[in-house]
Amino acid sequence: MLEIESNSPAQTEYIGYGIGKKLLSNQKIIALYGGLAAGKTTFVKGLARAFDFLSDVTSPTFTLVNEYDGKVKLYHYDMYRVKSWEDLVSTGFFDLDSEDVAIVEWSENIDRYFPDGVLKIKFKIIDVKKNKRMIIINN
Amino acid sequence: MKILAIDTSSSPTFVSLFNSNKILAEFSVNTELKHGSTLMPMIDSIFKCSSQKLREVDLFAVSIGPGSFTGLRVGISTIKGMAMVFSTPCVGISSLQILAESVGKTMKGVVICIVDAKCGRFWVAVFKNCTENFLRETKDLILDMSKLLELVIKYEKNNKVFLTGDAASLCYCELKKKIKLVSKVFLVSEDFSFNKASAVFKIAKSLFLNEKAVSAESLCPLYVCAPKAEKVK
Ligand SMILES: Nc1ncnc2c1ncn2[C@@H]1O[C@H](COP(=O)(O)OP(=O)(O)OP(=O)(O)O)[C@@H](O)[C@H]1O
Ligand SMILES: [Mg+2]
Repeated sequence: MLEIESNSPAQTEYIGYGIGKKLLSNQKIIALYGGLAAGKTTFVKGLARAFDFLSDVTSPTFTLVNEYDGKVKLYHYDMYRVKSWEDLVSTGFFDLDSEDVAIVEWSENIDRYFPDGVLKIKFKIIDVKKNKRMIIINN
Repeated sequence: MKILAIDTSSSPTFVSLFNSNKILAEFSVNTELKHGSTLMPMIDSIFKCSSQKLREVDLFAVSIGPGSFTGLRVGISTIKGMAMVFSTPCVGISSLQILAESVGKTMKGVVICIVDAKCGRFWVAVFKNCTENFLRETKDLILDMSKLLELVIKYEKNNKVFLTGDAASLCYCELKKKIKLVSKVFLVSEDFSFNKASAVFKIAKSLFLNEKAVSAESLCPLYVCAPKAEKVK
């Protein structure tokens, strides 16, 4: 377990970049946890850059999934509205290939369907006024 | 009569073109490319390579599942788009029936088609290999491994059983762990279980002759839903 403190959105983005660079090639699912505005999308911005995806990363709240074409295909999910097996099937989550990587916001909604060995990253708001977040990495 | 058939229900993309009595062309791609990028160029080139024309197609055949959610939607919407132009009739084909049919006539007995539905679930259908064609014994089911093994053991009592589909070998291994003597169950080799154009051709023709063709508008995928009971960690 690794705990990293972040004191600004830029810092969270940079932590995402760092973790993106360190990801092992067998890490196909990155599960993000944590409530509204905890910093998940901000983190993905940095991580996508580490995958050589240089365009805008936006929240997939409405689209459910965004596809980023970098050094590998990165699928950015937001499972806020995805709650059942049927919902999950309809996002195309199970159609991903062995080459693809998925990074999943709101994993708490559907992680019972994840295979073993996913990388889990938790976002905690420590102090709203001071922009302080704790990022906890489990593997 | 010309038939264009596609199957995007699993990771490979299959496109084939038939006239009344023979396969004119068949084309399959099995790479990391997704159906969204393979299907249209493949359709385009199958017409070019065989000097046929899209507007001469009399019937569209498409695999309607069960299978990859995204794949089915790509395949069915592509067929709809082409069929609507001239109101060409369409037939939707069960992906599990294609698997059964491509096992061929030489293996006499019961054919159980097993396709991975992820998270320990499998799409399953049982067919009997009769003299003329494959008769369906069950509807498309979604089962976990223990239910699947029960089903295989039930049929194994009185029949030779052939397992086919992408999860057949997994099922076969689990079966060997469970019962010592697996003498009447056989694993169909990958070469046989590869969806074959001739199987699609046969099914499409028979559906058409039995007046099962529908309009492009009413073509729809077949999703076999998972049971409500969920795995809790
Ligand atoms: N240290 C920090 N790290 C990340 N974001 C921060 C931090 N401090 C403040 N913020 C603010 O918190 C918000 C985080 O938004 P973000 O979209 O990343 O959250 P999220 O976890 O994806 O939320 P949602 O659940 O709505 O998807 C932004 O408005 C950002 O400016
Ligand atoms: Mg977000």
